[in-house]
Order: sequence, then structure tokens, then C-alpha cells
Amino acid sequence: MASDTPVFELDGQKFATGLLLSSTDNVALMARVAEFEDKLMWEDDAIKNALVINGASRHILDRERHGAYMRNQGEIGSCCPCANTTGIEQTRQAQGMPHVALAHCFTYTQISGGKDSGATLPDAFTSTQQMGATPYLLQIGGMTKRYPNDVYSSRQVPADIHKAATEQAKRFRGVRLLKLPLGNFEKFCRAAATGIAKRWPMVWAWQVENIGMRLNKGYMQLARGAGNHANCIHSGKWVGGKTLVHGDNQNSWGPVRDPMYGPAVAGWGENGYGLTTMEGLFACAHIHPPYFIISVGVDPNDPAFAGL
Amino acid sequence: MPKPNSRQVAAPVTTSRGGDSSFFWFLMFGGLLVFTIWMLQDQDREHSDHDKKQHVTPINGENERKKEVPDDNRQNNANQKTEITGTVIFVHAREPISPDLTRLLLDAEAYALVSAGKFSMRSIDVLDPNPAVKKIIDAAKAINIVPPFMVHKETMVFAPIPANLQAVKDKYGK
Repeated sequence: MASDTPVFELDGQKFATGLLLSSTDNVALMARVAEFEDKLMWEDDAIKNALVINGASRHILDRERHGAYMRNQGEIGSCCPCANTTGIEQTRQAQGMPHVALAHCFTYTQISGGKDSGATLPDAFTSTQQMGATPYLLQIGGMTKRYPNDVYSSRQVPADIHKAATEQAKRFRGVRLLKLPLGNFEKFCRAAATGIAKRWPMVWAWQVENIGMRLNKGYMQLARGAGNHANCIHSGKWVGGKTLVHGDNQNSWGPVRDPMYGPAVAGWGENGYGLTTMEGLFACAHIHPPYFIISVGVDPNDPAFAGL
Repeated sequence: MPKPNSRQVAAPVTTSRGGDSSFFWFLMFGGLLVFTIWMLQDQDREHSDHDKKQHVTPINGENERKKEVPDDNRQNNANQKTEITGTVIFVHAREPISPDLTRLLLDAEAYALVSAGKFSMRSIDVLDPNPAVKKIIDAAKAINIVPPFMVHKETMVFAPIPANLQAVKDKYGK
């Protein structure tokens, strides 16, 4: 069954979106999230040095690094959980933690209200901070069971799996977020470029229409609108000038390398990725403020902390 | 006393002169040969010296530096640790984070990837409420070290976070 959220077609495959407008409570919550301060911003050289490594753009290297964990939400309106769990996985990787595949649909079941009608970004990150994100693979009664990736309600999930998922989620919690400053475009550009250079994944929103299903010379084609789809900027390309960097977007429409992350289809963009300009990142920012995932918590089961 | 026959006298003289002349030419030829060989050898020596000088003697005293640099490198390489095993935990504010620390963590992560499981790293936020993080920070405080710091899990040796991965290897490596 297709999602209630806008669904688009690409090469015969359907892909849902799933970003809802924030509620009043969401707006109040977002207002309390710390903002990227001027003193945290880097100079041009530092940003460039972090994004150009031995003459190669880091976004190409990062595509290889993160491509193994590309998601495909398919026809489920779970873009917000996808963007956040992808961001948590990448922050864990940057923190040196062993890779654990996290099930975005668990987070979706926490915030969907039992319907496949999308979610908001503040609800998604609040859930990953409070409930945590759960691993796909769960040890239950001596067996390994997998959390499904085509569900939106806990009622669709076997009780033992959902119970174990809820318990395991405590191990994978987000710790710190930082939202981007929106008052001044130049400042927004420098903050976004700095965060990307610091290897923080950015969760952001854009407006998808049919044209957005294909790239134009490697770049995303954003439509005008409030924003109906959330993704993760996993890296960036140094371009210099006033906008400094173009973000490299990791979508959640495949192609997946690991079938655990969703249906295996040809997928979107350049192996799931597409560049966007700072103007593109800024387009829906006032309605869906983008934020960086700065840190995630230590997994108590991590052998690196055993015996400490 | 009869005068010597000039021819007779002359003869030996001539003969003698004749013998001296051959000897002279022999000496001349031999000397020239020896001189030529010596010159050639000298020239070779000069070329050889010149070649050596070209290797070690560029301008403006560079020669001294160039002579010393390889020695210094040998010495530095001898002091530098090339391998590190175990787990290094970096405890610091994930924000603000400097370009140097960002690069150090990236290099450490890359080194962990190629170490085939011998080395691992963790970059831990001081704001992480997990008890494991609190324990590490408390252990550091007990010896008057506060974040940002790093600790080698296997040896529990604490130290300030240095500027680059090589310095981490120098601290904990072999």
C-alpha cells in the first residue's frame, strides 16, 4: 500500500517522500535547539583543506565511504526517519564507532501515529534522542531477527521484534544537534560549509516534483514549495566564492548495496547522490530548519568501553 | 801526449751523446706518458669530485643542510613510531572542533580501517551522558587531566590530544 505522502515514479519504480509541516509544538522545540554560532565558523582555507584531499574532492571519497549504507524507503513515507538514522550512522562512523545498520522504520513507528502519512523533522530527531534508533538485526531467544523496513506502525511488527527493538534502541541515541543560522544567507553558507567540512551530516528539506527525480549534470533539480522531502547532506564539494561549498545529498531512494536497507532497484541520482547549491539548501530552510548531527552517545555494548 | 783523435773522441762522445739522446727521448716519452696518465687520472678525480660536489653542494650553504637532512631524517625516523595497536579514545567537545583535530580524527579513522582490526579509535563528546564517558573523565580528573584528552584503553595512559596522528603514534605506538 502506497504512502499518503506524495509518491513519485522513476523508471517504473515508486518512491514516497514523507515530510510534513511542523506543528506548533515542533516549532517551539526547534527554537530551543542550539544554533551554529559565529565563533564556530572556519575560514575559507580550513574549509577547503578539509574538503579537498590530495587534489580530490572529499564528496567523491565520502560517496564510496557511505554508499554501502544507502537506503531505499520505497513507497513508505519515512524520509524523516531515513535522514536522521542515516545521519546517526554517519556520525557514529566519524566518531570511530563500529558500523551498525539502523532501522529507520522503527523510528517511523514511534512518530507516525500509526498511519503512513509522513512525519516532521523535529519529531524524528526527538525520537532518536529520547527513544534512540534500533539496529536492524536483533538477537531474540538465541535467534537473529530483522526489523522490517516496510512498516509504519508497531502493530505491523511482531511483538517480540518490536519489544527487542525498543530495548536495543537505548544503545543508539543522538546527543547533540546544531541548527543553521537563517537570518543571513552569507552566514548560512559559511555555517553550512563549516559543518560539512567538520564531517557532520546535515538533515535538510527540499521540494520534490517530477523534475526532481533526475539530476541535471550531477545537480539536483529542486521545485518551488515548502519542502516535502527530507534527506541527509553527507558531504560536500568545495567551490569557493561566496557560497564556498555545494552540498552532496544522500537520498533515500536507493540504489541499495545491502538489501537490509530496502528494496533493490536502480535508484535515484548518481548511485543515490546528487549535488545541490547553497541556494538549494536555503530554499526551504525557513520552513524546515536544517540541522547538523554533531554527536551520538556511546553504545554501552561497545567493546571499546568494556572494563572501563 | 797525443791528442785524442777527434773522431775517436767524438765517436764515444757521439756514441755517448747518441745513447743519451735515446735515453732522453725515452725519458721524455715516458714522462709524457706518465704525465698524460696522471692528467687523465686527475681529470677523472676532478670529475668525480665535481659529481660528489654536485650531490652535496648546491648554493648558499645548502650543502650543509643537504648533508645533514638525511642524517636527521634517519634519526627522526628512528624515533618515530610507525605502528599503534589497541584503542585510543579521544574525549573532547565535538563542538567547537578545530581543523587540526578534525583532520587527526579523520586520519585516525582511516588508519583504523587499514589496521585490520589491530587499532581502533573513538571520538567521544564530553556532553555524552553515558556512565562510561563519565568514568573516563573522572579517571582523568583523578590525575589532574581534563578534557580534551586521549587515553589508550589497554594501558590507561592519559595525555593531551596532540596535533596529528604521528604524535599519537609516538605517544602510544611502537
